[in-house]
Amino acid sequence: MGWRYALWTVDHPLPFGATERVGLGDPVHAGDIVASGSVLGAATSVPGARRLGIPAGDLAIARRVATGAEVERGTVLARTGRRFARSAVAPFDGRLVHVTADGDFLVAPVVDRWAVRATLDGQVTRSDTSVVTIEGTAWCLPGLAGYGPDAVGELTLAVDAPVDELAPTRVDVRLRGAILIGGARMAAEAITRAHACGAAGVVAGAAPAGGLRVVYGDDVTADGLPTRDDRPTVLCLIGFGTAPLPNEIFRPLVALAGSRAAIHTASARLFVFAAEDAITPGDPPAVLLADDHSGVRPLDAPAELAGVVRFPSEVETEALMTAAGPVPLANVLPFDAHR
Amino acid sequence: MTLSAPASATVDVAHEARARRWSYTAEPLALAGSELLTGPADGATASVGPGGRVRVVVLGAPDGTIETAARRAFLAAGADLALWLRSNDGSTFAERAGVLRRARPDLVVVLGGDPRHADAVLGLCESLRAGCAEQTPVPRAVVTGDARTTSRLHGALAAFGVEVLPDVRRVEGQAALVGRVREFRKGTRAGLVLRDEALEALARALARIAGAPSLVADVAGATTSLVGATAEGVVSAAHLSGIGVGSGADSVVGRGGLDAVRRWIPRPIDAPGLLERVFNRARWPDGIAADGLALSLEIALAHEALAHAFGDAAAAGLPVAQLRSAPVICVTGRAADLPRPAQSLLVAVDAVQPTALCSVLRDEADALVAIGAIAAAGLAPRGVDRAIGTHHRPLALVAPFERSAILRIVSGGVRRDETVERGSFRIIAAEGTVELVAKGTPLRGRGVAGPLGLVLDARGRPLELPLRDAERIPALAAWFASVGAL
Repeated sequence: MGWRYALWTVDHPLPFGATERVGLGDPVHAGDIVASGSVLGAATSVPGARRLGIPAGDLAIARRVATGAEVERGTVLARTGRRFARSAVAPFDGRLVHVTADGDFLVAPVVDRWAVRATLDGQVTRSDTSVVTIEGTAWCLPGLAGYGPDAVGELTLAVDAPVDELAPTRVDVRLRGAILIGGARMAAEAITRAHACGAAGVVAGAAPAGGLRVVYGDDVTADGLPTRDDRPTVLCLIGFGTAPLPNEIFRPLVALAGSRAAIHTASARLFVFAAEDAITPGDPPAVLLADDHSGVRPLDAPAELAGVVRFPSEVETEALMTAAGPVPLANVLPFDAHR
Repeated sequence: MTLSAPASATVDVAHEARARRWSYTAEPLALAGSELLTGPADGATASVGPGGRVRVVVLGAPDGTIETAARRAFLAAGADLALWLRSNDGSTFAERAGVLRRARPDLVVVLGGDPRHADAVLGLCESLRAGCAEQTPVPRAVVTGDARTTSRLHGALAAFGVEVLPDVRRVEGQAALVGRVREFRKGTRAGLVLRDEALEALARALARIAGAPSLVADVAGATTSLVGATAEGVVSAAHLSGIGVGSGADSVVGRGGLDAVRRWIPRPIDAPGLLERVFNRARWPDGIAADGLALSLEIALAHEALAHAFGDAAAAGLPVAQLRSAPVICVTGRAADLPRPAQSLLVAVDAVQPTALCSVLRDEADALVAIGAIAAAGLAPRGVDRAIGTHHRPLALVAPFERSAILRIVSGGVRRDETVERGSFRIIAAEGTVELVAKGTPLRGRGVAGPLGLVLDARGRPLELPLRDAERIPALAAWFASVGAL
């Protein structure tokens, strides 16, 4: 499938403690804050229903503060009676984070703030305390795995050819805020340098898995690692190690350079906000896993079935004859194959 | 589970992207032939697969007995544990709610335990309510424990369609939890036999045929299983989800570290280069190792995946010593699909590390798994043992030694003596039924040797690999070469 201009949907999961968020149907642009909230410290339990002498189910009637609201020390959380009033009050400044099924209030101090930004121009189609969903039209290039936080910036070419490796020397502070287009490979040095120079993110055919471990730690896997903290944003389009980009993928990237773009790491997609007629993409060729699994490359030249072939590993299987020799048929997949 | 039993039908054994379709006659059971399907497979009477991915979150108080029992149940059920939250982990209410939200569970298992745990577990349930009540779809909650504790949790879990099961420390509680998790994995797919169920049926049948305990060691793309069965039909199973030689390859590295995989490769390779290969393999369903290094990696991943399975089984209190001493060991899945039989044998010997005389056999083209699935689904009322016998081909007889010994071997009516030196690992030619008596060790008995003969393994248990590459690689290469796996 490769590049496609269509109506897309993107979920933005929210951390716990959301206090503000966009409303249903609101228009948003990539980069806008769609939700914000608090990072909360240790919660303190304040007896509610028990203190008020009412069943937990009736607490809603006596409540004065909504869940998630900011409270000051002494704020009345709930109250009953008139002449002989009983009340539950906040013990310190913070937020009312939760009301238990037994009717107790949990109040926690605010220790930090967070914000979630949109990665798509469009309209909000769902907005609750756990997720904000945006639907919008854009050019989209699905990748293989995304790492780091979501990123929004101007698409900027940082290599001369699709087979080139992103050189750290091509990255400097003038690229602040840009989403860099690498070629076949982006090494850890280039990724960290881009981050240090303020680049929003890096997109390339592949990143060395060892380099990803250097940048993101030993927990990193081939499935990607979406995060929220201040780390580089990386989108691997085809594989790991080295993966030259097919012309059908690289040429539109060149044509779209200068456009506003966004990387949604959880779904490993690159969105580019440009007119529908900005590019005319072709169908990308199949991709091919190297015999030793060290990289992935596009199958540029025509190939034909070669029947059952015995490979150096002694595996005998259906093969495809390419210019470089036979390859197992199972190691050739359409560019958009689910993997 | 019992499906209708047609006279002639097909069963699909799912791989990562492809499937092997076996056609069979049911009365009596006989496999007729198979074909490899490259696209989505439909129309089979039954299919064997891992089922849907169910993300399980566990909430519980820090009670060793309950945790061990629950671990055993989760291993038997092949649960994909996304998160295990304990009430004493030191995290705050908001942190717990946050991690639960990020985990996006499909199923939440609350280990209620005793009344003394109720307050602590209730706090965890409130975190779940705060973090996941608005999740779509809402996760289901299963509570195990005594009646008083579980009734206290109902209010906090009301939004999650709570279901109460017996205490997981009891046998019926374990069985109920295993059954519930498996139902979730199956979802609504008609005719699906979980790979776990097929392997368990196979292990039972092998033990029944041999009249002795059997062990099935299965390594697939994203699952790894160890299933032990006694001749009486008692099964001990560890099914690890997300660990394998395909899409689970990066998880094997993530759990044990890169060096744990690298140590099984009998050639020098740098760590970054190895990791690249692991990641690419993990994102290439049913990728084929066309070159020697990629094949070595697959063999190493199979070793390590089984090592993890044994580690998890031991942690859950399963009788690992009994599994290792099974007289029949059957290798299935990708580990059985290696180009040379000796490579499958080596995986069995090095990863299982048998402690008693045993016959090692390997599945061919998923035939035994298919028969296990037919048996598990009740599709063939008779002839299962006979069908297994048809596809039951021992590779070799393995004789493990803890120390040096003088061995008397009777094979084909010919008697001969062999000296086994401590640390040695070699194969001697033998066919058919072999009788062994070892002076200096308690090893004695008889078994069936296959085309690879009799393996004399005096490397000791547990098998220890030298730490330094310069020592380990030649040692590994020699072991590979001695059985013809290199």
